[in-house]
Amino acid sequence: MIYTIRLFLILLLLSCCSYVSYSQVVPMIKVATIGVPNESITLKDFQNAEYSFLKVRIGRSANANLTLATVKNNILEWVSATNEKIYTYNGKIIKVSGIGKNISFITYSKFAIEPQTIDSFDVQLYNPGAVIQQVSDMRFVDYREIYHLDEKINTQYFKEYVITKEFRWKYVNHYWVDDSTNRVIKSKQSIHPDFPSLEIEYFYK
Amino acid sequence: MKITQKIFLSFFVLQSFISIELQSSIYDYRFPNSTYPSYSNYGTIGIIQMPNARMMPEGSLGFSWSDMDPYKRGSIVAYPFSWFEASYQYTDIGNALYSNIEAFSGKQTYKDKSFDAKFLLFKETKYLPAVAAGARDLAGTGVFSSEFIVASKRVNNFDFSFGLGWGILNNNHTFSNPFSVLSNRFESRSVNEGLGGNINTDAFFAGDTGVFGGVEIYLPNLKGLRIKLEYDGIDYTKEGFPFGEDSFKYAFRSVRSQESKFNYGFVYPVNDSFHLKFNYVKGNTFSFGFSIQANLGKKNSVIPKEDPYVKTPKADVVRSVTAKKESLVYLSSLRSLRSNNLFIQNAKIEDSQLDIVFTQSKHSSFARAAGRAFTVLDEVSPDYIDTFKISNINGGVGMHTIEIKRDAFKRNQESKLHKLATKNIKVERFKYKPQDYTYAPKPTLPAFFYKVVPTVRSQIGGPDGFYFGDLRLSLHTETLFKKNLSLITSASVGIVDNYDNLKLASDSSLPHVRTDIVKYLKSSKDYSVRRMQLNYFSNPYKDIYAKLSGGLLEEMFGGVGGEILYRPFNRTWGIGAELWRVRQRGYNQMFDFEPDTAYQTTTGHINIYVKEPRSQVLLTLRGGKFLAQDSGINFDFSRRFKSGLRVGAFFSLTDISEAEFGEGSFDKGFYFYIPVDIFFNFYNKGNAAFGLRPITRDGAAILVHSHHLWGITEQAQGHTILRDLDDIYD
Repeated sequence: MIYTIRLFLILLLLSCCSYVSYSQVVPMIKVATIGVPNESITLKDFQNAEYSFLKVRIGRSANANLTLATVKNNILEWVSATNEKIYTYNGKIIKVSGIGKNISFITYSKFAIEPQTIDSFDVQLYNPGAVIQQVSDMRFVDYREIYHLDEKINTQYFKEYVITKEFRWKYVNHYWVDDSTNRVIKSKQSIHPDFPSLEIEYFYK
Repeated sequence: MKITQKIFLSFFVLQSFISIELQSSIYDYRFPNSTYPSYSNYGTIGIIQMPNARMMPEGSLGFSWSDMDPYKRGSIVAYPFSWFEASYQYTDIGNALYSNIEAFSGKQTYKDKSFDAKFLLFKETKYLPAVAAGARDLAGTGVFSSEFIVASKRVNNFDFSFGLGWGILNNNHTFSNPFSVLSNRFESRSVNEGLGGNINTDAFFAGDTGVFGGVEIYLPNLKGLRIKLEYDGIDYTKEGFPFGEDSFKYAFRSVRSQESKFNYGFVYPVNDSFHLKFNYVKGNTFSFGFSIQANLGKKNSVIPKEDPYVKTPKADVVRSVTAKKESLVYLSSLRSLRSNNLFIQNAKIEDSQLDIVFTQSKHSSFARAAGRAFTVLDEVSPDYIDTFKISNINGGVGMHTIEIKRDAFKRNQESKLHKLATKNIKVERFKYKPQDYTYAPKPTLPAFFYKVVPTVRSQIGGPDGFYFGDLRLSLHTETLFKKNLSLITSASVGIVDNYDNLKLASDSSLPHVRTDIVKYLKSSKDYSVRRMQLNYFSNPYKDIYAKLSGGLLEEMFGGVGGEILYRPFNRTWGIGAELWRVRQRGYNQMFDFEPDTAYQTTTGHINIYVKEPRSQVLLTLRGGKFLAQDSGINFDFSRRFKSGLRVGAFFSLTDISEAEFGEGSFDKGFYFYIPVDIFFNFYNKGNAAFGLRPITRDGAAILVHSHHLWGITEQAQGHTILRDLDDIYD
C-alpha cells in the first residue's frame, strides 16, 4: 500500500512542480512499482569477500550485505556498512538494531531448528516498545534443492509457525538447512509487526 | 509497617507501573493504525455526522471525501497549530441545480463552498475531557451553518463525545440557549444575507440549543477497525434544501427525511494515513467516504532520506597533498563541494582560517548546507587550518556568514552533538565583495539552465462545470548573464484540455485584471509564454536589498518595476516597498499586449513582514494600490514547519464596496507550500504550491511577479540559520 501511495504522490508532484528532474524520479517510480531486483551472490563475489557475510533483502527493497563481525556464545553479529546490525542464533534472528523497527529476544537459548520443537520466547519490540511472548512450533517440511553460489545444494526445509500471545500476530518463518554442514543457509523471517519480512542468505567462510 | 511489608508494597507498586507501561505499549500493537482520529461526513475530524474535540498533530494536512445522498463533499483540512483545525470544502448538493438557465450552467448541480474552523479549548487530562468549540459553514451561504461546543474523553478503547449545538445542530431543542443570560443576541438566530463570503458573527452560538453525542470504539486485533455510534443533533429540516422547490427555487427533489436519530458506521484504516468509512445515517441512508492525511510538518515525515553526504575519496591523501600548496586547498574544496551540490564562488586562506563563498540550491535547511560544507572542508584541509568561515550568496548578493572552530565541529560529529558543536558558532551578515578573495572559479557566462516538466492548470467550481483544466508540457529556463542578472522564462504547450465548455464571461464592474481568466485559459491552451522576466539584484547598503525587473511578469501582466527591502540581519522583521508599471497581456499569453482593453496601471505596495521566530508564524501586510486601482491592505498569515511546509491564509480589505467586488464580498483564500523533498528520498529545495481563492474577482489583485525579495533573502537573517542548527550533521 505504501508503494501505491508513494507512486501516487510522485505522479502528483511531477504534474504540479518543476523542481525535480526525471533522472531523480524515474528510479523512484521503478522502485515504487516493481521494486528492486534481487541480485544474487556469485562464487566470484564470495571469493572476493574477506569474511563471512549475509545478504539480506527487506521486502522489495535492494539487497544489503552484512559482514560477520563477532561470534560470541554461538551468537553471530552481522554489521552493515551503515551500522545496521543483525544478530543470529542457530540461524534465527534474535536481535536487530539500527533499522527503526528493532527487536531483541530476551530468551532464545532453547531455539534449535529441529522437527516438532515447540517452545516459547520472550521478545522485546521497539517503536513502539513492548514485551511479548511468542510460541514457536518448528516443523520439518521436506528436502529441497536450492541454488547457492552458482550450484545446487541439498537442504532440509523447515517452517516455524509463530503465534504471539498478547495480540494478533501470526507468521511463518522459513529455514533451509544445508545438509552437508547442518547450518542454516537461507531463511525468510518476520521480525516486527510493522516491518516487512527479511530474506537472508548466509555465506560462511 | 514491617520492612518486609514495605518491600512487598514497593514491589507491588513498581510492578503495577511496569504492567501499565507494558499494557500501554501492547495497546499500540493491538490497535494499529490508530495514531490519527477519523473524519466525519462533514469533512473535519468527528464521529459520523457530529464533530468531536479531537485534533490532528500540528503541521498535518488532510483530504476527506464523502458521499451521502444528496451530498458529495470534498474537504481540505489543515492544522496550523495543534489547537486549530481549519477546513475548506466543496459540497455538491445533488437535489438542486446550479441555476435554472441551461445556457448558463448546463445541468450542473448546486455547489456550496464553505470554511469550517475548530479550536481546542482544553486538552484532555487523565480525568477531564478535551473540549473544543467550532463552527461549520463559516462565510458561506449558510445552508450548513452551525456552531458547537464538544467534549471528548477516551476510556480504554472507547472515545466518548458529548456536545451542544446551534444552527442546524439543534435538532433536539432540549433547552433554550444557555448563553442568553449573557446577552439578548443569543436568543434568536439571524440569517446570513447578501453576496456570501462574509462571516455572520451575529448568528454565532445564537438560537435554540441542541445536544449530540457519540462514541468511537477501537476494536482490538482488527488492524485498527473502529465502530462509531452517535446520537444525531442535526436538524435535517434546515440543512441544505430539504423540501425541494419549497426550500430553493432550483431544487428539483426533496431530501429523505430523518427516520432515526441514531447513526452507525465504521472506519477501516488501511494504514495510519488512509481511512475508509461506511455509515448508516438517519435510519435510511448509507454513506461512504475516505480520507487521506499526514503530518507533513515533521522532518522527513513521509519518506526517510537516503541522500548522505558524498565523502571525498582518499581524504587522507588529499589532506597530505593540500598541506603542500595553498591553492590545492581551494581546488580540492571546489571539487568535493561540487560533488555535494555546493558551489564555491570565491575562496581565500588567511593564517589558519579557510574562508569560502558558496551558493547552493539543494537544501532548504541552510544549516544542513553549511554542515556539509564544513564536512568537506574538514576532509580536504591541512591540519594548520583551525577555523572555517563559509559565506552564502543568493542571486549574486551576500546573505550570511557562518564561522566555526574546526575542532568543535569535528569532535562532535560522530555523536552528532550539534548543540556542543555550535556553542561558539558565529552567524553574521555577509556583504559580498569578490575582490576580497584570492581564488575564484572562472564561470562561463551566460550560463543556461532548463527543465521540461508536465504542468496542470485548473479552474474549479464555476457554473460551467466543476472542473476545467489542461495538462501541459512546460519548459522552464534560466539564463544567467551575471551572478546578479538573470532571465527566467516559462513557456508551455498544451497536451489535453476540457476548456470547450468553459464560457463564463466576466461580470465585474472593475477593470478585468483577473476575471478574464476564461479568455486567457482558452486562448492560450495550445501554447503560451507564462513568464519572461529579467531580474537584477543588488545589496546597495548593509541590510538593504533591491531588485529591478522587467518583461512578462506573470500570466496576465507585463511591465517594469522594482522592489526594495530593509531586512536587518539580527531581527525577525523586514520592511519593503515595490512599484510596477504594468500593462495587460494578450489573452493568448504570447508577446503582445491586449489591444482591446489596453489596460495599464501603476501598482505598488509598502510591505511589512513580522515573524515570530519560535512558532515561525509570519505576518505580512501589503498596503497600497492594487491592479484594479483599488487601494487597501492585504493581510497574510502563514506558519512554517520544520520540514519546510508552509500553511497560510490571506484576506484583503480595499476601498471598493461589496457590490463592486461581487460574489464573495472580499478577497480571501489559503495556500500551502509543500516541500517536494518530503515525498522523495533525496533533498530538494523546491516547493509545490497549492493555493485557492473561493472566487476569482478583480478586487485586491496583486501582481504575481517572480523572485520576491523576502524569499530571495530568507537566508539573510540570523534566525533562519539558527532555527535549523540541528540539521548541521544531517
